[in-house]
Amino acid sequence: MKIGIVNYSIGNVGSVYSAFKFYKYDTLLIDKPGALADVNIIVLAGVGNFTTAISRLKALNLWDAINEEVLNKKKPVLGICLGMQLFADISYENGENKGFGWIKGKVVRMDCESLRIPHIGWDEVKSSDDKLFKGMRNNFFYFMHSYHFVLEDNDANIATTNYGDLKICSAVKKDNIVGVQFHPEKSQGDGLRFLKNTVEAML
Amino acid sequence: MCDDRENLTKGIASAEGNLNTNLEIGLERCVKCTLPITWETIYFDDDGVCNICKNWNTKQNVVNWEEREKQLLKIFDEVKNKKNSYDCIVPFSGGKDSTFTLWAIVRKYGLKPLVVSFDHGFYRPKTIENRTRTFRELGVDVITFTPNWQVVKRLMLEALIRKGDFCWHCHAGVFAYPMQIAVKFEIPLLIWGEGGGEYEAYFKYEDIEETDEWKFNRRIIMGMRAEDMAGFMGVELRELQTFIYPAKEELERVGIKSIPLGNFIPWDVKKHVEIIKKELGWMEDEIESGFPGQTYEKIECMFTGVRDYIKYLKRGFARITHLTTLDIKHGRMSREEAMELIKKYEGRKPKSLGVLLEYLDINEKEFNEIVLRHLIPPAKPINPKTLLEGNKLWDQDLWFRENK
Amino acid sequence: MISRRIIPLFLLRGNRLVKGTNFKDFVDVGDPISQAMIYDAQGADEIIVVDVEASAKGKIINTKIINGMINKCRLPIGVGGGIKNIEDAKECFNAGADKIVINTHAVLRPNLIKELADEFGSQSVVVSVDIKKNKKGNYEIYVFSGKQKVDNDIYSYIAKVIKCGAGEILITSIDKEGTLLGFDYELYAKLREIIPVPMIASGGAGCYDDMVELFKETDSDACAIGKMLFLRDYDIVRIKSYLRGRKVSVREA
Repeated sequence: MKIGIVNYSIGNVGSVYSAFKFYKYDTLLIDKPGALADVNIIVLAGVGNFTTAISRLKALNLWDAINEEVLNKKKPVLGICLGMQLFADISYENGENKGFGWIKGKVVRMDCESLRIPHIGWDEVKSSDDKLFKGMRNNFFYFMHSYHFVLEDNDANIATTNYGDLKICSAVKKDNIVGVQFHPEKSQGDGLRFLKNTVEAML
Repeated sequence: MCDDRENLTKGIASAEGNLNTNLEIGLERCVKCTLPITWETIYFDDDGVCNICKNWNTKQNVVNWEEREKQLLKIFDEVKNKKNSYDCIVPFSGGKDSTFTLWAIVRKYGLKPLVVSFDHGFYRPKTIENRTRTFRELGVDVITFTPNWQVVKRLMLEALIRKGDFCWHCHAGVFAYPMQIAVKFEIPLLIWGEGGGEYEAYFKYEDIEETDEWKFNRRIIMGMRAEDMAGFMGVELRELQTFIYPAKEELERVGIKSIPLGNFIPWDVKKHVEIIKKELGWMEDEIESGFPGQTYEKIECMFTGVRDYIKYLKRGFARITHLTTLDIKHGRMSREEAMELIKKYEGRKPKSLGVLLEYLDINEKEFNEIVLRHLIPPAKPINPKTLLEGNKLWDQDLWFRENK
Repeated sequence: MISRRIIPLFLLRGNRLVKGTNFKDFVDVGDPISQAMIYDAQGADEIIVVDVEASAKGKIINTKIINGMINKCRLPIGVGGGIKNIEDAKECFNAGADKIVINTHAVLRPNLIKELADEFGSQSVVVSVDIKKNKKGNYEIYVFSGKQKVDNDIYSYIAKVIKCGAGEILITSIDKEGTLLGFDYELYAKLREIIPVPMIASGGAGCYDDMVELFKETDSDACAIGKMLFLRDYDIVRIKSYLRGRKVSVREA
């Protein structure tokens, strides 16, 4: 069983990698489309902005390959933060950009007069999915974002976080696709548990 | 380091203050058990009841002890079947908890342990006698490790200055050294005494799966590991070898599993003490900071009295508060009776302070300056000159003295 | 609802952590990787590590040390010290940093903030400002770890910082830091009115009630603490227990 972390951006790939290694999962970094076929689970993490992420993935010829694996071959995929936002139809960060479109909805700036944006820090995640969120000590996870995924496909919304008047979608799930707005690799024990639960649910 | 001492300060605490200030002004206390607001990790709910009381109730009612003991017996059966040289390691001091644990392992559960004891340098004569009697009566192999005294003295002073607590080497050594032996001798199972954390909220029962190194880093070592200390003291890390927690890879290679016995059987201290008295001739002793007379609590260490004295200066309470709390929890005493006893017995300056000062090579004025800097508000500063002195322990004159 | 954050603030000098008073008289307070493990185990909410000499030496913070900390700690880590352009920031992110902290170079060239926010997202950019009161009682900005005063008016500087897209603002009171005498509540209460992004208060925490007062009176989102953890007998578990008891919303340690 191999987990492949798509290495398309700078940043938290190392932490995500070491989080999976904590459970001794066979984990590798992917920066070539050919390598995707060898892994059982694809992980899309990312720091930065939507525009840069898309252009990098396309430059590495990964965009179409990932789409093929996930949509047609139904390979399990986990998206973290920006990675989850890539699942949307469209994002309005730094212009208009099309996402993978696997889950209907758009990524927009969190605009709320009364709130401090970015949403940074530990916040509570309320989930309807007992498998992915089982055994948690706290149910608080670390968030770090200015944009959020507003779903049209509400069935895919499996967890929410209340930030002031805003109800943020903090996790999505649809068939082989799982995404979280928070950073499990930065959320101590509960974050690790989430990753383990996800891997086990996907296999 | 002496120059840095200036720089390590600034802020609170002059030495002015009244006797029993904290009692009179009313250091906020739990309405049920009287533990004060400066007790580590305590907080009160809207009714004034502390989280320690609440957890206590949970533990009594929620844990399925039958199930837990079944788990324990399964672990023991597995290890016995392996027929290794030793079934387990029992870290040991000679106090009531480790003595009971060793007795249970040998007599009740029939395992063959390697006893590993860390000698912090402060074992009292009666404890040494208790240890010898226990080892010979039960028939066990024992390793006792004594660290370099010169290093220990420096560690004590460093810890006192930085944290207002001179016992770093003991905490670190007692926890890390048996793990090192477990790795060296490839003995995977370690059996510790009580679960720990009944009086503090550092760990939850859900943490049963958390690693020991997490506990070590979280609570045991007071925010300083050997790697930090080596830099503070300007020594090579290898001088502090004893206090280093083994690497994760090493622990995994051996398959180390640590069991606090108190997580698997209900911890009834009075019952345990009766057992070890009867079966092993274990003897009580007097301490400086408790009620007058014999006791079974913390009798193994020379500096129990000084530790409690420092706690009193920092936090406005000490052992008497702790003891009366337990009595209240068990329904043996009322809150009013407790407050009376606290007023009567708490806050005595121990005669043994002189011995510690000799080991640390500082005088009482320097000691007071260091400790008073570590005041934990909302406790108010206490003037040590206003405190009564306690009685000298029967064995103090037998203790090791630097200046003969 | 989001929790208030308790953030150990690591000051790096060479390859050891240090702590001083008013940015002076530093003493060694430990090894950065060892301390990262400790505060992770204690349940801190994140760690910020800043190299106090980097800007003056024209270097950036040691990325090997960042990497060592990241490998041993499952908390977000913000990293700063001499970062003056996108390349410097990239090096830090590649070493594993979650956020970068800019101070001196943001004051000297505020457009840096915009460049970094555009490239990496506002949420990854923390602008740190060191402030001292002058004899008239007005606040002034200092750079190069308190060694050099600059003439910017702090309110207009902060307005610019926000306009450039800073995700968080960390305000350190040089007068209070390391004194254990409490925060500069007045400063944070004033700045709270003009800072619409998360604000981290830093400097002066000496006892539990200092933090209670900070959160209740100034509505700061987080506090960065130093001496209280390194050179006094406090830990994150105890701090958070006390804060919970005083109804400050913090994540369990």
